[in-house]
Amino acid sequence: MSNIIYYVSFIILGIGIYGIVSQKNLFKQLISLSIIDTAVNIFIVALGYVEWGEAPIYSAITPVANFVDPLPQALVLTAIVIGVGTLALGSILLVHINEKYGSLDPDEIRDIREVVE
Amino acid sequence: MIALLIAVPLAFAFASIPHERLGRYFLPFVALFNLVCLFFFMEPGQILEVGRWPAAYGIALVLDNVSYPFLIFVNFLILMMALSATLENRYGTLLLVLTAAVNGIILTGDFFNSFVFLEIISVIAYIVAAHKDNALGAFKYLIFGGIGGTMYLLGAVSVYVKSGTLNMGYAAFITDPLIVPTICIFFLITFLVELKVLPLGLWAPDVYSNGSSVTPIALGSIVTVSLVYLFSRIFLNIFDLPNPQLVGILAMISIILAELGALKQKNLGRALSFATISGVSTVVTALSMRESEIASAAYFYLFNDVISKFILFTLFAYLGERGFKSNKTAGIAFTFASLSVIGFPMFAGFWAKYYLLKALFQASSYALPAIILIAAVIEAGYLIKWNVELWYKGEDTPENTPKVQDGEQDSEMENEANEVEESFIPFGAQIVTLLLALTLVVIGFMPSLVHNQTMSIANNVLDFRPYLDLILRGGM
Repeated sequence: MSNIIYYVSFIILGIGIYGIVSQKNLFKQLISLSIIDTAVNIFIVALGYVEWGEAPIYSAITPVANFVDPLPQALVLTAIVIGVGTLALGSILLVHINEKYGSLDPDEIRDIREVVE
Repeated sequence: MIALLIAVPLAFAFASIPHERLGRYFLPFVALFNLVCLFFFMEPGQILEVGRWPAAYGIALVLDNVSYPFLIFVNFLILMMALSATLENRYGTLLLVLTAAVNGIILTGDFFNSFVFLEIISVIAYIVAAHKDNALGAFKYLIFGGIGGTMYLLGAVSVYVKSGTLNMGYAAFITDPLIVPTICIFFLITFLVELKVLPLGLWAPDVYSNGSSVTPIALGSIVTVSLVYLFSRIFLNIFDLPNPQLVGILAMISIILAELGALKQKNLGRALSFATISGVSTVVTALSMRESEIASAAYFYLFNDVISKFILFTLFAYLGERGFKSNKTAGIAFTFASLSVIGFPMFAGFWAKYYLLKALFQASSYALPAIILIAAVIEAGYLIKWNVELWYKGEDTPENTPKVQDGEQDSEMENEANEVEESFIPFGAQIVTLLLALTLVVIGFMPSLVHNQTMSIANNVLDFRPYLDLILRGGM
């Protein structure tokens, strides 16, 4: 049962990779990259899961340490922050591309560049 | 003390935020400070456990016989870039953060920490790549780099799941025959993207040819050297690269494709970008063989390639449409760098290729030498062509002056004046490129200056025990 989450993350990863390979629109490619990030984050959090485990906080009411592994959660937190930064930066680049070429379609951009050159 | 190499650039980067233009003035002093610290106050064989956590549980910064020379080289390149590049105000802060990140990625002994530094480098690289209105090239790099970064994270987490620690030293004890190749493949994808091995390095020509004096130097020289270090640390020091022949074949195909791509280009920037791909692919192929003489020669090759491309890209950025007739100093530096890339005798490049070919023949490897020789012939073809073209290019002749309508003439003339102003080579860039070109000549006559260092790096990187001894000082 607990393996389902791994399969889910791999399916989402596959969707992300398919998006990057198949989509021509640059914004859709950026969203696909974000989907890949999400899939990897789900996979990493799942790695630290312990059946019936508790939140990893030492206190008087959690004397028995059946905690889930906190390290993958810490790693994912950092990875999410980095992912958001990259997504924001990618969006800014797309705004610049759209302002310059008036399109986010690589074929149209190529045609415009050929005309300019 | 080791942490200063990361903390000082970062502190100055924050200090420069309220006054953006200060960043570019801080950069050379910070690089110089790092070099002084490395030469006079630090020596290999130090470890810093951040927060006094033992290396197995916390982050350890390791200064050993491999990271030490790489740090010196990287900080030297940053200093040279700070003196030669035309930095816009906001780039000072960015490059200070880049300095902290490249020092961090070389020093760290922790996989997740190296992922964080890699991502910092990547984000700065995307911004730097967008210089000169090159958002499309930067976006391509972002997509490739984003996938590469994700693969590195998966590799780091796989190490943690299997070994219970993120420390690089302890990761070497993972022996699971299924997990080790999986981890290596994750890391390898990242390196093939970041080290521009084709087809995953297809982003590079668009990024490097944007005509900036910062982008190809920061990404092609500084970031490349730091990632070659990380490649060496992971695949020569910690893990055995699974199926190195396959990596070698892929990189050899990349060399040939890149050289043919360079030959076909009508733009010097793109030709140099493909030449850079070819150079780094040669280094990756040689390093993947995991043999000390070949690795030493690969580091020598990297040294020559990085210095030569530094000169070529810097001069390309400033020349614009002009030739060497009114910039003879630049012309001499450009020609020296080109000859060194080709491997002409009396230049560092000759020894780089000689040592590499000799080591490969001694190891009974004949495919790579054949490809290096073919690549050298192609390189000679297009680099000599570009040299001849630039040396004989007319200056401000009527044919070169675009014809404009009368009404637009004033503004066009103003633009033209600005372009000429922009294409003027600053004094700092002229001195730096000439000094680096002379360095290539000096090493051409005294190759032992570099060869002794590269031999030491190669011997140390292939011997895991000193690194583990250093890590184990903290205990488990």
